[in-house]
Amino acid sequence: MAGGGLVEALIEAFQCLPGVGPKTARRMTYHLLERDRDGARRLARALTQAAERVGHCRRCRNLTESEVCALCADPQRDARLLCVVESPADVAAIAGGTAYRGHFFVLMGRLSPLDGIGPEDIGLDVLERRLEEAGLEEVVLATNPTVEGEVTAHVIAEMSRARGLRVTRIARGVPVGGELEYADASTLEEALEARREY
Amino acid sequence: MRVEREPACVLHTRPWRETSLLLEVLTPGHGRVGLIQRAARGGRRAPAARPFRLLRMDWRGRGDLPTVTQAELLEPFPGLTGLAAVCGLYVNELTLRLLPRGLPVPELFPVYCRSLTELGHGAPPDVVLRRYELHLLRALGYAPVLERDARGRAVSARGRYRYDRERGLVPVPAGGGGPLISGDTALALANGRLGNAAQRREARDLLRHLLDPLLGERPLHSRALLHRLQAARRNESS
Ligand SMILES: [Zn+2]
Repeated sequence: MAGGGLVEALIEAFQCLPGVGPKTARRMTYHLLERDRDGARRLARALTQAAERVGHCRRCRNLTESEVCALCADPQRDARLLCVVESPADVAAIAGGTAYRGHFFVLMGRLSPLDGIGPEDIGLDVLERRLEEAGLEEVVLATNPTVEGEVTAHVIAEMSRARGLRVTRIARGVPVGGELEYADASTLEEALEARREY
Repeated sequence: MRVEREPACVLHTRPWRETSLLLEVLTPGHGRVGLIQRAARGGRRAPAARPFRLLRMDWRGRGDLPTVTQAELLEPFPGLTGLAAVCGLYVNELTLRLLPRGLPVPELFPVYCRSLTELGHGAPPDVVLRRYELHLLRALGYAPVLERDARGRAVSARGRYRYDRERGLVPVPAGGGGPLISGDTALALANGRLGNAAQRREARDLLRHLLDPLLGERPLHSRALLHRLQAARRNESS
C-alpha cells in the first residue's frame, strides 16, 4: 500500500457506499484531500451528526432527528390520506415531485418471505396503530411493482380494509419492474392521479 | 457443463456481488439450479429474471453456480397479484426449501407451471397448493399411498383412517398415529379432485403432517403470511 495509514483508511471507508468500488473510492479520496478540504470537513461533520442523531419518526418511520418528522408535523397536509412507500427516497420523490398533499408511511423495505423479511421487519405493527388514528380515510399503496411490492401491498390492503378504510393503488405509469425512486416526476404525478380502488 | 435452451421458472433472486444476480430456478431436466446472471453489458438488458416468469436459458460453468449466457422470456405467469402472489411465493419457498439442487424433476415442472397459471386465473388457492405439495412429495420420494390402506386393501370412500407416516392409511379404530382422514378425501386427493371444505381441511392436515418433518424447525415465512391473512379475514367477517 503506497499511501498507507489515513489515506488508505479513507479509501476503504468510502467503499461502504452502494456502487462505490476501490477505484471510485480512491478518486473521491484524492479529490477531497487535494482540492476540497473544506468540503471534506463539512462532509465529516454532517456524517457524524447524522449518524448520531437521526432516528425514525414515531408516526411514519421516515428518517428524522426529531421524534416526529416535519411532514408528519405539518398541519397543512391532508390527514385523510396516507401514502405507504418502501423507502425514504420514495417519500422524497412523491412529496417533492407531485401535488400529493397527504401523509406518508415508510416501510423501510418490503415483505420478502423467501429472504426471511416478515411483517415486523417492515413496521406493520407501527402501521397498524397509525391506521387507527382518527381522521384517516384513504390508504394509497405506492409500493414498487415487483413481486414483493405486490405482496406487501396486498397485506396492507387487507389490514386497511379491515378498518373500513378506502384502499387505492397507484397506477402503473411506473415502468414495470422499475423502482419508484427512478421514475420521473410527471410519471409519478400521473400514477398518483390515476390511482385506483384496490 | 453447458446447458442450452432449458425452460426455467424463476423461484427467487437476490443481489450477487456488486451488479449481478443470484437466481434460483426450477427446470425440468436439471431440477433446481442456482445461476449467476451478470449485469447485461451495453444498452440492451436481458429480460428481467423475476419470480413468476418462465424463461428459456442457456448456462455454462463448473461447480455450484454456473453463469447464464442467454435468457429469453417465454411467458410471464399473469395475474399473480394479491393473495395469488402470496400463494405463488409459498410454492416457491416450499420448493426452495425441500428440493435439493440438481435432482431432475420432469414430472414436477409442468405441475409447477400449471399451479402458477391456475393461481393467476383465480382457482381456489388451497386446492392448487395441495396438489403441488403432493407432487413435490412425490418428486422427493415421499408420496403418500392414498388408494390402498396399510394392509394393501383398496381404500373405501366411506372409510375413516389415520395416516401413519410409516404404515400409511390405517383404518379407524385399528389405531395408528397421525391425522384423521376420510376415505373419500384420500381418493379425491389422489385424483386431484378435492371438493368441499372438510376434504380440503383433511388434505391440508395430512400434507402438513408429511411436509413438516422434512421442513424441520425453520418456519416457512410465506405460510405464516398466509395464516396472518386468513386470521384477518376471519376477524373482519365475525
Ligand atoms: Zn413522520
